[in-house]
Amino acid sequence: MMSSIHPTVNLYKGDRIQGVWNHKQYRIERLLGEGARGSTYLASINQNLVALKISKDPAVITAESNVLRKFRKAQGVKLGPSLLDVDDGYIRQGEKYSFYVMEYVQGRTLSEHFSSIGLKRLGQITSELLKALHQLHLLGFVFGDLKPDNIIIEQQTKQVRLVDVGGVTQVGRGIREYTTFYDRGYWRLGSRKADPQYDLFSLAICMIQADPSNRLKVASQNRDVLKVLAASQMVTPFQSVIKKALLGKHANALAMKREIDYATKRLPVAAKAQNNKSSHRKKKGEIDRAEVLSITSLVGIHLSVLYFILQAL
Amino acid sequence: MNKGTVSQILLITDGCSNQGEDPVSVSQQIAQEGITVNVIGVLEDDQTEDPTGLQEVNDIAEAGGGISRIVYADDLSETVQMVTKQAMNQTIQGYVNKELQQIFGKEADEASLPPETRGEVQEVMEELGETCDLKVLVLVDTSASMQNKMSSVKESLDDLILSLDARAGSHYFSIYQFPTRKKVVKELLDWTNDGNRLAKVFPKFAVGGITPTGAALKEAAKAFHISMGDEVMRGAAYDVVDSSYRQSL
Ligand SMILES: Nc1ncnc2c1ncn2[C@@H]1O[C@H](COP(=O)(O)OP(=O)(O)OP(=O)(O)O)[C@@H](O)[C@H]1O
Repeated sequence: MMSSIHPTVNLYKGDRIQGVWNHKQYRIERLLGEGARGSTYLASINQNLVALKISKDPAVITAESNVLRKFRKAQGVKLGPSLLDVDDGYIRQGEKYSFYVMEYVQGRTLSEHFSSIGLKRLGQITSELLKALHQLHLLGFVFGDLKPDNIIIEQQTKQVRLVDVGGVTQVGRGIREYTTFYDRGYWRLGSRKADPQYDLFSLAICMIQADPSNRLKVASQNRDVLKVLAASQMVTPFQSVIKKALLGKHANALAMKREIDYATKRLPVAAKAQNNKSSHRKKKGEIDRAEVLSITSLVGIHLSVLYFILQAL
Repeated sequence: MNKGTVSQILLITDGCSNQGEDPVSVSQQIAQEGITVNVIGVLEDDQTEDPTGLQEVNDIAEAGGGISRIVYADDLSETVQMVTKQAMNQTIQGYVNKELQQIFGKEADEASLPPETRGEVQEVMEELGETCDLKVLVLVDTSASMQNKMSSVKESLDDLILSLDARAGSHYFSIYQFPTRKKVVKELLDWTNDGNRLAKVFPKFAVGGITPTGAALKEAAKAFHISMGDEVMRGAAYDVVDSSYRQSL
């Protein structure tokens, strides 16, 4: 096993990849993004656009598709993109890599939105996120790697969606993946153990990032994010709720949501007038995509595998 | 991996060793004892990302069954915790694959299972990764050129401990430096799980000259054989002077 190799798999427009297990064939359109654990491509199958994540490390694919499979069982709020397929495929007759296919969430990420976002909209987005996070927390998971790049505002519905589940962690365990600036441990304001407050902390940093004058980079030198918050004038109306989130003082996501909603309502009218066109058409017309993947019943042998492994330890 | 404990050496260095034993073959021997050797090469700010002098970093890690990364000092924190975690998962993966082969025959490994079954195996591995015990010996190159990187090294170890503390399984770490004036390696911190002790270690970091990496690795690896609490043996191990090292001075 050579995992000193970078997990990136380079694919190009027009490349085709066919699964060896489920036999579906995908055509690569373009790169959506790449990170430390693999790359995500926009791909198409029968004229439909999908997002395809591929990695040289099959464990990444298995772990993330496991998470998406669990989310599928969640009722109500959509947590993460729907999972469509998990398979292995050969790239240009060469190496075989694992990949999974998910719903393509079309829209702009929150980081691309920041420049045009008003306070009122920021309050709404945060509130929606908190609602989704609360669902996630009730399921016993923490999102972990919450950051503006992983938050997409859907173009059609204006709904807020979370993508990239690489950081999703069972409550009580060590956060699987995080990004330095959004990590509570980095700012020395708490542990890296997964609890609901971990996500609320990251969300608070996202809000501070919305301030165009944010000075997180500078603040990182003395690791004092509270000082930066105090200087972030744009988010003044949310200052106390953000501060509570940074200090882990919200009982849960709903409690923070209530305070965000309250602060949003009390925003001065000028701020309110901005951007509220978008708030009208949301949630309607959201069609649940048919879930293509069927849950294969497990081969009975896996139980004996479990048994052997646990015995041997 | 034995009795549910994953053992690792993490070597943090900025350059090659032209002294004494070949670190690559030493690393290979250490791996045979079930200890993984991970190596992080630290770049100077003006160095390119692929300097020739650091090729050895990859070779040592590969021989030691571990992971290597070459990074600037600023990225040490992220890298140290990631390398440690990935290498641990890799050890567990190798172990589980061996078990699978015993059950399904020679060719079987995780990747040959259908994706759904793989998902179940993955969950077992994650459970193991979260709960197994972990012993990490950090071996820090403190030669002159590393001097301005020591605060980054300390920060990265603080950060590593933060990540280790979040796990359910227990962990122990110890810290060794090399080279020192008279010895190949010097123990700075004996096996502990108390992150607060790190602060007291770092002011002690004295900075030496040449870097006999191979000999240092060999000495440091002995720390895994000393049962905790066994004062006599422990004393013997960390004061050993490598005769070949002395000759080379
Ligand atoms: N289902 C999706 N629909 C649309 N865009 C997506 C989707 N999944 C991911 N993206 C976009 O692609 C980017 C890259 O995601 P990816 O999962 O490859 O990892 P990353 O966040 O860059 O890093 P890492 O691999 O370390 O998690 C995301 O930040 C997101 O903007």
